[in-house]
Amino acid sequence: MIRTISTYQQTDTLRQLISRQKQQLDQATKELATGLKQDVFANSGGSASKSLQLRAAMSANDAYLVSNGRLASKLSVAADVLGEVQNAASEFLTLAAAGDIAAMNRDTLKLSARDAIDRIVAQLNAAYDGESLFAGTSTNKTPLSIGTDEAGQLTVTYLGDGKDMTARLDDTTELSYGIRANEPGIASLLTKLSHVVNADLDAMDHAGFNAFRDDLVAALGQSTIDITAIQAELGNAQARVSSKISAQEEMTKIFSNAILDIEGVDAEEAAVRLEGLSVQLQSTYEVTARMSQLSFLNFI
Amino acid sequence: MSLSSAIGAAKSGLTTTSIQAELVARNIANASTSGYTRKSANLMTTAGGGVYVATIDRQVDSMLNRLDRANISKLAALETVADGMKAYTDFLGQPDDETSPVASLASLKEALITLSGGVSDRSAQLAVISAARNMASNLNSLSDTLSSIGGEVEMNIRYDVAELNTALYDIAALNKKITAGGAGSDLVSQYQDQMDQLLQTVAGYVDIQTVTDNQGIVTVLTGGGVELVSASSVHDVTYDPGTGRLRAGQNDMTPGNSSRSFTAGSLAGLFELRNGTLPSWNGELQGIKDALVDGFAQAAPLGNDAGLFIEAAGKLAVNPAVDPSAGGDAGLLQSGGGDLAPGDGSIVNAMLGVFSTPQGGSASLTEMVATIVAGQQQLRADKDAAVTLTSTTAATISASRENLQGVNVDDELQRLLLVEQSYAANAKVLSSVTEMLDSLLQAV
Repeated sequence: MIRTISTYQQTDTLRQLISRQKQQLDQATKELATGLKQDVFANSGGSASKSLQLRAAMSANDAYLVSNGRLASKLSVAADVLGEVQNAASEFLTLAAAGDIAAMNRDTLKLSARDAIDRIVAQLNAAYDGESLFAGTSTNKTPLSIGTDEAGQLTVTYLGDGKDMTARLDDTTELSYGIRANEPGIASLLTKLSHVVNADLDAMDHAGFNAFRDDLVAALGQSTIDITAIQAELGNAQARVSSKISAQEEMTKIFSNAILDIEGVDAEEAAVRLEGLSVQLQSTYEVTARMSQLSFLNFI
Repeated sequence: MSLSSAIGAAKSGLTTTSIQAELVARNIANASTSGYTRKSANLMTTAGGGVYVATIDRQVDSMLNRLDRANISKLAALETVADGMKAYTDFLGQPDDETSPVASLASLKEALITLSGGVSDRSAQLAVISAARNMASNLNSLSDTLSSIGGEVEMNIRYDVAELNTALYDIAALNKKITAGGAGSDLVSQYQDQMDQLLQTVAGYVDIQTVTDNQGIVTVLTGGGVELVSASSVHDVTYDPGTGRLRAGQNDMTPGNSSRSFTAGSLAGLFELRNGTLPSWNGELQGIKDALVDGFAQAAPLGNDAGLFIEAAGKLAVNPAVDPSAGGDAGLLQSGGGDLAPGDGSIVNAMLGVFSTPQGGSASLTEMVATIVAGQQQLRADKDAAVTLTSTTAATISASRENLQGVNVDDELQRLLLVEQSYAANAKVLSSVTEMLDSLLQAV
């Protein structure tokens, strides 16, 4: 018996072949163009779930980067403010400690104290992006207000709360960074300066004023040391945030690479595949055309 | 032996060649008809020395036919399930499309991280509400997609059952005709072609086994052994959407749910979607919704007992108390309804904690959602791969079957040449013998 090949089947096979090759060609083209696998879930051996999680982690990382960047500038504003406070304190200290007492105009000392209070309060009342920096978590309140009590004495009142501000640096790290205007160093500085403003300096004799002045210089010296400690603490926080930022910038690259490892295609491999497939498809077309011309009908 | 019997023999030769020519013509005409089997005349010598067409043979291999039908059933089931899955997973998209619940969840977390940088920032609060709304609508639309696929599945079960019954009645009618036609006749060979095509149609719906008796009458049973057609009687297939039962006559044959269920064919695929895939995926989506509703309610109740999300009438929604578009106050995201100072980020922090809370077997909410999404996509990809594999096998089997049974035009043309020669020779014999008889008559 002679075995034949069904004419219908012959063309059908060629059609199926062409359609399959075209699908593969389409996939290779897309993969080459996008650099990503056409179906990650089918072609990454079960690591697609990892890739989804990496993408989620990367977007969280990016959001932390932005919010940490904002935190870093907030802290740097706070550091500037503290620097200004420190300047005002030490300028007054220089004036108080310097020169001959006899030569010193006691009114000038009073005026300078008042000026220092104004400068310090104005600095500490600074807001960043509409939020008070030194009022604890009561960011909507101005932390310090200058007033007078019933006896006509100058007072500086703290209006914020006692809670520290916290920030989330990443999923697991929280940073408590609040510098409040009622921290001991700042509070004692303001109290001492108010004393100068409120004291009746003219009524003091030479020895009394000397003692007052020595006491003032010592107290202000201590405040300056305390504020320096606060600055150091703030500096630590700034360092933590900035090292977190560099780590997160690094993480973005690591995430991208890890995602690309799972989802990406090797461009050269895809190009070679595309080349091979187009040659193959071309030959299939040629064979199909030739076969269709080959018929016994042409010879009878 | 005589001149007149020579005329008889030549005449019978002419008759058979004309039948052969007709068969060649029919074969060529049906060369592109899928399922047509090549016909040939089986010639026998008559007692008088002439030739006659004893039977019209069909080229069939019953084993290849059976294998082909089995593959058709298997492929139909796989394709039905793969198509149903794809209609849903297309909405999940590829990882870089960022259309899946994992991406919505990541955006929500992103918005909360931004808010944590300035917890009283109005626009950051509104961004969180909007991200939460996207999360809710993403999950709701996925649930809707599943239920609309569910509706489609119900409708297709009914269509398939109706079409299956039509094919079964056609088979019963053909059985009747075959009984009347007489084995081996030309008519019966055509009926048998139709029968094979009908059986292939039925195999697309249900995997079947067939028993053919010596007359050519076909009994059709499902793969699970439930009788569908015996001789000229049909056991009607019925589907009860309420109980989800599929019956043939009185016999329960619900796929996956009966001792005599069948396992392949598009109906088996539809039942796999109806009773397996769709409920399980719906359950997974519900799991995500529950985790969001409960997780946020426990970590950060916003004034009332509810958290950022609530579930009402099966839909996930943003708690109206914080949703300004529902008359709520987005500021609750920071204050939680208590008297927290505006810089206090404890509520927002607690909400961020929800994302890393372990959920069942997963280390975090994000991991749980990613696992669910990837798992559903993986099932779809596996089915796709199974479809490709089965269709390759099916194509090979069907090619062998088609090659064995089908028509090769070149071959038929060569046969035609033979028929032509044979016809001319027989005609020549006839005319020569007639001449001989004439010259005999003239001699008288």
